[in-house]
Amino acid sequence: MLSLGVLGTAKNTGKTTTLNALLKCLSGKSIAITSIGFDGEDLDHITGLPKPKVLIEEGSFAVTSEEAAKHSTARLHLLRRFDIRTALGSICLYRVRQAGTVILIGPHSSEDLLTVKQTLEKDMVEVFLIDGAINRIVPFQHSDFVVLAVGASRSTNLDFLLTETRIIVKMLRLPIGGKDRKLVEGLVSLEKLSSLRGERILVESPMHLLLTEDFVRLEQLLNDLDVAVMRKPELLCVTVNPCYPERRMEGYALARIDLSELARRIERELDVPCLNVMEEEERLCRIVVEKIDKQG
Amino acid sequence: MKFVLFPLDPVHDVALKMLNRELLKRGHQTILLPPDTKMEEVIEICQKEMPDFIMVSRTVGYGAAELLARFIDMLDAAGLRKKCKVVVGGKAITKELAAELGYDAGFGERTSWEEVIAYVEGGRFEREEITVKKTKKDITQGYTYEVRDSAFRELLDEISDQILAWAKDRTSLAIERTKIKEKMLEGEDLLEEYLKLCDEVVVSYFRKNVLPKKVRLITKEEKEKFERLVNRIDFNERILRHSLDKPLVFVQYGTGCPFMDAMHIKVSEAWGADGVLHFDPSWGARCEGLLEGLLAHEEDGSIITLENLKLIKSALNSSTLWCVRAHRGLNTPETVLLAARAGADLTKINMVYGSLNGGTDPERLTVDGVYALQLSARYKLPYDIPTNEELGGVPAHKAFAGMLVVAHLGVKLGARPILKPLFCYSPDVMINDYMKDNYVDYNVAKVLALRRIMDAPIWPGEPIGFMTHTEDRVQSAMTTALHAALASSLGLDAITIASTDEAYARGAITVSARIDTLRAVAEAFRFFGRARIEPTKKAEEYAENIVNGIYETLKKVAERQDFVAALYEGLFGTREEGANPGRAGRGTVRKC
Repeated sequence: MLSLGVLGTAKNTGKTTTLNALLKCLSGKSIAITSIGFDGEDLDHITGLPKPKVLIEEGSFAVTSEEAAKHSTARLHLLRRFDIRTALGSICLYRVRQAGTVILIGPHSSEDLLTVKQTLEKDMVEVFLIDGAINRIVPFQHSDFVVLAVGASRSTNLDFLLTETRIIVKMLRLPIGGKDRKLVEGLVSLEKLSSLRGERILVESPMHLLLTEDFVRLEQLLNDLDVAVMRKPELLCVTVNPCYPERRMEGYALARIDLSELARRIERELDVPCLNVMEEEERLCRIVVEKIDKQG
Repeated sequence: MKFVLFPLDPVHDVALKMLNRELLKRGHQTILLPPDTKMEEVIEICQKEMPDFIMVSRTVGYGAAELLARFIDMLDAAGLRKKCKVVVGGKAITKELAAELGYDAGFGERTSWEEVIAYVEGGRFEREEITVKKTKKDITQGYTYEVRDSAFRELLDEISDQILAWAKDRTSLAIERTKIKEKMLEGEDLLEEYLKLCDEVVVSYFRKNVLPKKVRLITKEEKEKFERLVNRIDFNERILRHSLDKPLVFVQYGTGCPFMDAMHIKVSEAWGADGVLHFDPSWGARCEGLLEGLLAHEEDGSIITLENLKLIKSALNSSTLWCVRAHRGLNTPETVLLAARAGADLTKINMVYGSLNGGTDPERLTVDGVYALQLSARYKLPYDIPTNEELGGVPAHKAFAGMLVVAHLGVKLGARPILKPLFCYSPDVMINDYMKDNYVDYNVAKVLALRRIMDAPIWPGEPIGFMTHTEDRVQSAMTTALHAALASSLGLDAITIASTDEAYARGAITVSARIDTLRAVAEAFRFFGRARIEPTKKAEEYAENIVNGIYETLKKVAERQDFVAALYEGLFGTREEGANPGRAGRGTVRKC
C-alpha cells in the first residue's frame, strides 16, 4: 500500500479540490481515504463560504468518525472501530456500499495516522489518500508521498509564496540520514538549530523543522548545518489555488488573483511540477499515476 | 490532574483565569501562562511538566486557525500530542472547528466553566442556565398585618368596625348581580334576573345582540389562530433579579384586543416579567353589569368577561402572576368573582381611590368594596391597594390613610392586602418641593412610614417613576430602572413598570418599548445587587411627617364616625387637592 497526503500551507489552498481530483485519477484502484482534519462540510467553519464536497465511489474505504459517517450521503458499512477518539466521535473504517458524498474526520495526530496506516496495510488497499487540515503538516511524516497545495489564501504576495514554497521543497529534499549523525528528537526550534551550528545532525522529519514562523532564518541556518532526516514523504508536485476568501465588512467573499506566473517560477526555479488542479487535472493524474504504478 | 493553561492571544486571558480559579478550587494543579507566550516556550514547559490537559484559549479570526493548527503540529512533532489532551476555547470555536484543527475538544461562546470542568473531569454536564424554572410566588407570604402602633390600631379598628356595621344591612345592584352570577356559574339559568339589574347597554347586548360601540366579537377562527399562536411560542424563562429574590416585576396590559394582550404578555414573560395586570376600559366601570363572550375593544382597556379572562389565562406561563383590576367601578365585586373563576392570582380593590378619583359614588363603592373584600377572602385572592389619587394632587399621607383603612378592613374580613404606594413625582411633591434634590428621599419616606405602621407587603406602582418619564425612551427606561433599583434596595416585594412609551404613547404601546424597560430594570438589578441606595437625612424627616399626616387623617375620619361621609367631605382628600367624589351609582345603595 502506498500513502499519499495532500498538505497545504493554509486554509483554502485547494487541498480538498486536489483530493477530489486524485480520487478520480486513481478510480481503478482500491482506495482508502481520510482527513487529518474535517472535510466535506457544506460551509467553511470560519469564512462561511461553500466548500468542495468529497465524492467517493462504491468499493472504496473511508476512515472517518461515527458522527461524520452519519452525515454522509454515501452508504457506509462499518468494518472496524479504532481506539481513536475525536471531538466528533470515534474513528472507524468503513467500506462504501453506494457512492455518494462523505464527511471525513480522521486521525489528527501522527501516531494515530500511523496506527490507521498500519492497519490498512493488512487490508486490500492499494492507495491511502490523506487530506490535510488547515496548514498542518506533521502527520505527513508517515506518508510515502505528498502533494503540496499553495494558494492565494496563504498570501497574495507572489514573492512570499515563492520563498515559502522554496523552503518547504528544500526541507522535503533533505537527505535520509543514518545513525552516525547527532540525533535531535522532537520539535526542532530555530534556537536549537543555531546552537547546533557546524554539526551533522539527524532530525525526525522535514516537518519537525518546518514549524517555525521564520522560514527565511530557517533557510539561513541550514546553510551552516549538515542536516538529514529519519523519514520523509516524497514530494510529487505542487498545486496552486488562485482563489481565496477576502475579508469584507460582513463575512467573506471569494476573490481570485493570477498565479500562473508563480506556477511557472516554481517549476523553473524549484524544479518541481506545479499546476492548477482546476485547469490541469489530467497532468496531475499523469504525475501521480505514473509514480504510483512505478512504486507499486 | 495537571493543567497548562495557554492564552494563544496577545492580550485576552480572562476565560483561562476564571477556569484556573475553578481548577485550583477543585484541587487540580495548574500552570497559567501569560498571554503572548511563544509557542516554542509552551512546548518546552509542557515537555517538562507533562500535563494531563493543555487548555488553549483564542478568539478565532481568519489566520488564527493556522496558528492553532500549528500549535497542534508542534505538540505532535514534540511527541506530546498523544500524551496530553488538548482543548481549545474561544468566541468562534465550535466542536467542528476543534475537530478540524485536531483538538480533542472545543468550547465556544457562552460556555460556562462548569461545562469545561465536566469535560476534563469526565463528568456529565447539564446546561442549567437554560432550564431556569420560575415558580409562582405569594407576595403576601410571611406578613402578619399587625398594626405596629396601638394608637394606629385603635383608630383603624374603630373605622373598620364602623364601616362593617354600616355595610352589614346594605346592598347594591352589583352585590345582587354577583350573587346571581355565582349561581349562573354553577349552571343555573338566571340571565333574566341578572339583566333586571343591568344597564341598557348590557341588556341590549343579551336581548338584541347589539354590541356596544367599538366592541366586536372574536370569531371562532380567530380564537383557533390564537391558540395555535400561543402554543407555538416557546422561550427559556428568565429571571430579572440578580442576587435578590425581590422585587417581583409586573407589567400592565389592556390594549383592548386579547390577541395583542397575549403577545405583549408573552414578550414580557420572555424578557423576565414575573406578573401582569389586566386593565379594562374606563366605561366598563360606569356601566351596571358585565358582558359575556370573547370581545375585542377598539380602544384602550380589555373588556372583562369570563371568556376574555380565560383566553388571557390560557396564554400565561404557569409561573406568571396575574392581577385583574376590580377596584373602582360599578362591577367591583363581580369582577373579583370572575377573576377568581378565571384563575387570577391577585385583584385590586381600593374604595377610597375608586370613589375619589375613579368616578364611582363613595357610598356605593364602600358597600361594593366590603363585599369585594369578602370575596377576595373567600377565594383567597390577595388584593393590592393602589393610591393613584396622589396623581390628582392628594397628598401621600391622605392617600395612605385610605389605603391603610382598606387594608385593615380586608384583614378583618380574612383577606390579604398588598400596600401600593406610588413611586412618583406627584403634584403634591412638586408643590412642596419634596424632590428638589433627589427622587430618593420622599419615596423612601413613604416606605418607611408604611412599615412603621403595618407589617404588610409593599408593591410600589403603578407604574413606578410616574410623572418622571418623558418621550425620550432612553430617559424613560433609565428612570424606571432607577426606581426599580430603589425598590430593590428597600427590599420591597414587587414593582409595576411602564414601557418606555407608556406615558406618551399616542396609540397602543409597542412591544420593543416594553423590552426597553425590562432590560433596563435587569441591568439596574445587576448593577446594585445587594448594595443599597442611601437616602439623605431628609427621608427620615419626610417619613415622620407622613406618619403624622396619616395619623391626623385617620383621627379625623374616626371622629367623624362615618367613613362614607368622610369620603364625601374630603377627609381623604379635598376637591382642591384633586379628590372628587364620583357620581356613578349614586343613590343605588339599598337597605336589606
